[in-house]
Amino acid sequence: MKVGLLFSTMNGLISRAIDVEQLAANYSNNCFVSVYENFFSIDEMQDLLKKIEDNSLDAVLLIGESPLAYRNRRSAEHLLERIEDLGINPNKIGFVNLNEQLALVHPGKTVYHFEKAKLMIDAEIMRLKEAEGLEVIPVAPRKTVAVIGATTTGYMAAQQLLRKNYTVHMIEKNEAEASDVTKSEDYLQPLKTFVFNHPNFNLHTDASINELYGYAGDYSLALSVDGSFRLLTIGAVIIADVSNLVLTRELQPLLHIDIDEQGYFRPKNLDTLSVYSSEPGIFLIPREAVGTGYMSAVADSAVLAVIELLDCQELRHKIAISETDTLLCSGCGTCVKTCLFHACKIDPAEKVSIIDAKRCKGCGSCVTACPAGARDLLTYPKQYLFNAVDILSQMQIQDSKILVFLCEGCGYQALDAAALKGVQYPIGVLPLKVRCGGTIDTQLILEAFHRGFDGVVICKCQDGHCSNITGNIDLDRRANLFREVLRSRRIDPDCMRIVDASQTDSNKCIEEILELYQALTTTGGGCNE
Amino acid sequence: MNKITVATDWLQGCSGCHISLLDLHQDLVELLGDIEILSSPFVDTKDIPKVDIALVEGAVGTKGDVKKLKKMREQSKLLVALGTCACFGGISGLRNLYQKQEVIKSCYGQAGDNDPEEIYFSEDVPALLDNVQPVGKIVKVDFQIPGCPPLPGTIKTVLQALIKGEVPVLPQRSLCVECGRQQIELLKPTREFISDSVISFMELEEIDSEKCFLEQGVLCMGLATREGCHARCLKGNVPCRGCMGPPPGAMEQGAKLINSLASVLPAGGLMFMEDVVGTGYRYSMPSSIIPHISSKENESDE
Repeated sequence: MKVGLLFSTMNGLISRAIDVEQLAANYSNNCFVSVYENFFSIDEMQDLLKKIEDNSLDAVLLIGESPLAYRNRRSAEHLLERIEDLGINPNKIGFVNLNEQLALVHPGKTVYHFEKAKLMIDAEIMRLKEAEGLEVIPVAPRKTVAVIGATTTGYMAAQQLLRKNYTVHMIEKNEAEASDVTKSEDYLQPLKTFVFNHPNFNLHTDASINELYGYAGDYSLALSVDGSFRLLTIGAVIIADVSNLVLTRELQPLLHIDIDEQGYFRPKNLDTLSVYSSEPGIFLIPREAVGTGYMSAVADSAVLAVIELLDCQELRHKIAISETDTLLCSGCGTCVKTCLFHACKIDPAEKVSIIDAKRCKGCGSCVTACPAGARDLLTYPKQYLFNAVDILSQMQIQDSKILVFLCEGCGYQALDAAALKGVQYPIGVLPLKVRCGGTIDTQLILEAFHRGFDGVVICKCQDGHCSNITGNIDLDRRANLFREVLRSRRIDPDCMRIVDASQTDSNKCIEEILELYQALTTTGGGCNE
Repeated sequence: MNKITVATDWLQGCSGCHISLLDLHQDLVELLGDIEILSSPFVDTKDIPKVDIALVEGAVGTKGDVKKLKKMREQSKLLVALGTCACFGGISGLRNLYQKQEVIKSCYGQAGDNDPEEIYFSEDVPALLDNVQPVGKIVKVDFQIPGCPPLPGTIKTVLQALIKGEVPVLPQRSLCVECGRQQIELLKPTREFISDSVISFMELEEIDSEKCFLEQGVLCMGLATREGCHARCLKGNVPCRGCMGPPPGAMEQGAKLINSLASVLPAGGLMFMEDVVGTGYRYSMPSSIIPHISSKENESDE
């Protein structure tokens, strides 16, 4: 496999901590390397894409910015799409966050900075090697959209979609006066008349949503309307009633999208991606919308995002979970019990577990819970995680070493946010990104202590905020039992900390890490095996 | 055709695996048509000659075991770890949860902390190693036959394959596949546990012989244990203790059990009712990722 390491100095930011050229030279024997000032300048991006193509690379490692930087900006996401277009599997694109996880948080430019950067890169190269390509299934997008909530912005969005030849299902929980045109305010009457008279408009009042499954472009939405069931097949969902907390609380466990501290649906990025939710096919009309002009503007934004998604021949859905290894699976049922997305079933004749790709979110609960190790997460293969712990443990440092498992959904974002705020932490704190803090395998924690880490911190989402529903609760349950295992090896169970991290409140996470570091330093790393 | 030569021996074990070999009865006679046992606790020769296949029972717990094992490895073309002790360390491996000194003290009662080891150990009583280890951590093992003891039929299958020069294939899923008890609650995706409480199976008023033990609130190791024993305990209405060791897809039995059980049975109940560590690692402590107490703890007394 030919790996390309593409370094960005981020216009010199990273060079303040590491000699990037020297770091790149370290890998030039085994990998293709190239150093840039900034991936996003026109010239450099062109050059970067050309080099990937010319050198027929199989895997690409983008070293410099946080992976969140790509997720939070459409313009940056574009770079990833271009790389995928060149035939690189999405699972073969890796990131090493030298900015937020090194340059910003460890001032200075020492040999330790260099070594840590090297280990972080080695670990990610390991992921690219261990991770198989994701299976990408083509999805023909359905030009049908469900609008949840018969609100003013909901009607505005429906109107725009209808004009663009989309079919609209409006779903309203109440037996709404919504359908009564005459009761509306004057300015809304023409809008509603247009919508109601349109042949492609369907209103479901007194309707509650039972289930939503599938993926962007092809969802199935199970409704019960007036006591009878209906199954809609739709391409995308717009949530128009986002200020309704009661509704939000009902929808969240069905839609599996992130909520914020107050309990409202949280946009992907408040400033840059305010109509996007954490799920690619579900869109939000921001709740701050006041005044008809502004309301129609935000409704239009959501509609534009929907059209941008669905107006194509084919969408690509990536499957993140591996097939069941039938040589190992005994059909014990643990995966069925733990999968709250209802994606696992046991084939009674064969006694093996089968996965419903339409429901699977790739959270990894079943991978951890499977007692036989019959399943693997393609995005973070077990073997990679073990190897990564081994690699990071090689950090040669006198002081304590702490391994921090950073949940994609919370901890990673919290640590990035802290770095941008100017928080610093010791260089012996080594981060490892995982899919969900709640699905950490206790074997991995044992491995970390075995390899010489003095402490382990696991970041998980706060109660009710875990996008994998019970990931965080399961972790607490596991940890309760697992502390006993640590104690039996005479390792102080306090050396394993579980932090309720939140995407916005980064302080808590850092405080816990620093406190553990302090405790380890005063006891002289007594927790170490 | 020359017969395949075989040597067998035991280290720190209970001889049960050898008894299981004898339990082949008439099949053993048939097997002896193809093999010749040159040295074994069963035969007069105790010195290990050059052989094709060596069968080793038991874990490595003393300096004498290490010596014997290395000799067997030198003299054999293929070395087979016979039984759970040899494969994973077995019951006696639970002493790895204590320091050697603590173990000696507990055995010999009066032992003082500063007594030289020679008081207890000699040429005839070989000195204890700091920790019990599975055979595979000392020498290269060509094949493992787990089981406490392995079924006679399994030993025969493996030997027959080796005689033919084939690689033996043993089933490697978890025990649930052989158990066949009915599962209902386990197949429902819910936040709730499948049982309200954890109970010792002795306390069950009535043991439902058709229903999964976990669903009756009884801790059963079956799901984190390798198949191959034909689930005899479960068919006798007793929950699995995990003697076949972990399935090969798991790295270790104890942590994997916790991973699975934590979302199945009430963790609080498990903590109070069961010895989680002793249960999870009963047969495989020495092959855990951390196979013994922290070495710092060990060093501090040396």
